[in-house]
Amino acid sequence: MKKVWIILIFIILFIFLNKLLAPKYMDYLKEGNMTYEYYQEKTNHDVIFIGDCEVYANISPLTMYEQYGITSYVRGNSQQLIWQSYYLLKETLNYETPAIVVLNVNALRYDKKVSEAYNRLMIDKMKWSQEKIDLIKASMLEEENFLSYVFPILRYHDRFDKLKLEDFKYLFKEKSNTYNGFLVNKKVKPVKNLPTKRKLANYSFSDNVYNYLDKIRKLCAENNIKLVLMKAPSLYPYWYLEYENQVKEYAEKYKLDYYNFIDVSDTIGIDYQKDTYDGGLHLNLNGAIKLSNYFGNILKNKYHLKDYRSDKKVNSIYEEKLKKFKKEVE
Amino acid sequence: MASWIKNLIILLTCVTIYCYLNISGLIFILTSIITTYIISLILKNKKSKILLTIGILINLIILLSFKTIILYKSIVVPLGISYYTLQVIAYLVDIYKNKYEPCLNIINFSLYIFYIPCLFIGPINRYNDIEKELFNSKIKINNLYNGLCRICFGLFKKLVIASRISIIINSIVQNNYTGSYILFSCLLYTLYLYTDFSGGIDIVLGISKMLGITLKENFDRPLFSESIKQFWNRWHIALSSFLKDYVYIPLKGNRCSKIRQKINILITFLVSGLWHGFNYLIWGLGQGILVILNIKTSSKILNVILTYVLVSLLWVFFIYPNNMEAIFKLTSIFTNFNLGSLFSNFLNLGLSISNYLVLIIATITLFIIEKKGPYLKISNNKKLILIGTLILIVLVFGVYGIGFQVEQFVYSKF
Amino acid sequence: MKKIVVCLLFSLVVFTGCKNSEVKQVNENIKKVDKVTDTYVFSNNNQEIVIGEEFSKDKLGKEVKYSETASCAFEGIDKIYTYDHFELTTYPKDNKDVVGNIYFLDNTVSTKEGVAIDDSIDKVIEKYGSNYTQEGTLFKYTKNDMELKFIVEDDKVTSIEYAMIIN
Repeated sequence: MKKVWIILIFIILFIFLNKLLAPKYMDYLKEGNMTYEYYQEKTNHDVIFIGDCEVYANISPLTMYEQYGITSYVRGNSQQLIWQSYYLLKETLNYETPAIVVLNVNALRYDKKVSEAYNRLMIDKMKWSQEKIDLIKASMLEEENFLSYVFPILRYHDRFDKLKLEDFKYLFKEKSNTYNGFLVNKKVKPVKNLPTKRKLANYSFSDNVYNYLDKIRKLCAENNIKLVLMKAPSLYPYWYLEYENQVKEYAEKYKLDYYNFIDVSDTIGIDYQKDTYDGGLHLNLNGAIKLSNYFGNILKNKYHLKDYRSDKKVNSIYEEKLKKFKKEVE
Repeated sequence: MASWIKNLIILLTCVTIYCYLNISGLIFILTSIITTYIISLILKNKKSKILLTIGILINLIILLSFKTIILYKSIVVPLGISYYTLQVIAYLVDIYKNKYEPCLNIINFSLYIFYIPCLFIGPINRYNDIEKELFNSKIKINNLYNGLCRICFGLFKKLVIASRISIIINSIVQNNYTGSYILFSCLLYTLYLYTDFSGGIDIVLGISKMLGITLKENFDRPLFSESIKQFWNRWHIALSSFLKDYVYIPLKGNRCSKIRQKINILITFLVSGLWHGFNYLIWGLGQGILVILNIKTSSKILNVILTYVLVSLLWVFFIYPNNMEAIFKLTSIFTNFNLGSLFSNFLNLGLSISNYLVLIIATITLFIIEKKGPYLKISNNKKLILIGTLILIVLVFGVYGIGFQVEQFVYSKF
Repeated sequence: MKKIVVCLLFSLVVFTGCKNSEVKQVNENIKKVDKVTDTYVFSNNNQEIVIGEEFSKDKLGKEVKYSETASCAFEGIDKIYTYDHFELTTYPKDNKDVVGNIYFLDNTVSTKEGVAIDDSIDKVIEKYGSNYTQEGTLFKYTKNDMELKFIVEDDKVTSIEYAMIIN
């Protein structure tokens, strides 16, 4: 009997150490908490945005709600690759079935797994599901180990001397850093110079990328979800004409709507001297609000989405969110 | 459970693991097992020098052909090839000399050869030492605790201490440092080699213990030896005693003139050097000379320190396998010491201050625990607590995973 | 008899003469030291630029244009220096900026071995040998952690880039 207790205590200690040593993604690297924050949502969403940093930095769901009564959520992560978007969408469908899924096409250009660090940001705090297992398998680099996603201590044990205050502060509690998946960045870094537009050896999206794009399209079709493609406005990395043509071709072939916001930056009113936080790669808060106003209008009118501002239950929840959002924005 | 069934299970497990790791080595070992088995049976009744030579030669030829193939094709060397060959040759010689009866049971004989834990890193087991343990073992609850404790302790040595030290040594080698850095890395290398190798042996002994097999100890706190001679009696005991029995004593050992005896010592150490590889001859010679010189002071503590330092200096030939480079590095200790540089650069050798602290505390803990002998005499509950604590310590403070690639066991390729 | 045993033992060890992992590791390290000299080096006005080494700005004089790009989520920025005829990007590594790639902007610069944009593929193969990997129009020569990349269209080089292999 005594032995059972001893073993139990060690198991608890083991779990505790796993929790203590894993990064908390609260005050530092907030991007790591994005996948997790979705689980705290209390209402369903009509629109789900998926994609890389170009969605979480550029799309503000609360602005869309304030203006048009659209309920939406951004499920985007840093360097989220197309197969990762697929599994994240699949996971989302375990919780709800939106009317529209908007996929940002920027990541189509990437066929290779990039870095362990980005995998970690996206996956570490994801809830366990078949999708998470598939996602890990699809994302892992050669030197990575599946088990270290199950037991973070195997990956983060060398943080024993790098623990910060937040590691203790948020040991048992959470806070949310985003507004329906939108990460606020108020910095301004005007566009000055851009690097030369380089010649590439290959402009075609790979078969693997198309394969996952097909999977996303089919998944949406099966669930009666309207799939919409978008390209967020940015000046760099260059969105080559060859890329644009491939997306257009794909959209035409499968009768998907595709919105490229690079071309309409002026109409949206984006000023690259004021509306970007990193010199033209991503929009800052101001830019994101402008884009969200513009895009919200399209979504509202074209797809006849319900205005939830007249829905008491939903509205009260969003009023809360907006209050918090306004406070941060001002 | 009948012991032969248990032995067969262990044997099959070992063969499976071996196949998984290295399928090509299997044919090699199987051929060798069968020929050795048959020859030993004949040798029992008919003491034929020719047959013995043939037996040894067959093993050597298979070994050589393997080595030649390796030169042309990149196949993996059968694991533990040298250990295994030494074991088989010793077995044949002993049967020839009537030291013990040959093994009649082919399952048992295969198990002796194939016993995986030993196949990797030794220790080299002599048949008569291991026979009873290996074939008549029984699984007991006490042994499970003891074995598990030993395994965890081995992991602690390897992952917490040895792997940490190897970061420093690698950094010193990589940056081509000289002078005081070399002394520092040599001193650390002794501790590194000890914790890495004996940690591996601990795991082997631990697994065996869990199966109810008590193998011979391979280390007897060698870092606390008071003379070089004592050091070699307490370090890698299996190899030392093997060399003693099959090289030193056949050369008439110390039953001859003083000078001849010294030459015998030198030869034995040269063979030891050769066993590690061609370029370790100078290292062997150095150790032999140190044993013969037998430098001593009157103070016990001073002797321990002196032995440690002398042994350490010669590891320079292990750190730098190119002999010329090693000698150059060694002389730089005396010509260009530059202690200041080492001090100011201390934290740029790959370890942070907290990691140094972990290293120091872990090493002190190691010495304290090892003083109490290989198996602690405490209750099973306490052992369970010790096992749990060790596992957590290894998990947190071990050097492994992305960023740190765990070292291979240093001795597994010999 | 004893002599035979000793002799056999001797030959055994000589022929087995195996190396341990430590030895291998150390040798690998020594190789690493050699590495620096064994890559394709870009040379401009007698200044050599090595991919993967820390970038010292004064080597190349004042750039025409400077820009920088950040990566999502993590600190550190890529710095892009555009000169008259080529462009150089640095990546942050261990608090240093190391040369990540060099991209030729026109046909007035050539590689150290003498290949420039508009040269024929035959010239590339003549200078660099046939040990390349081809992916469509891309011809890659790999040395250690860097690649020299030529894009070849209609048998003519249209782009040249030195690049670090990032993992």
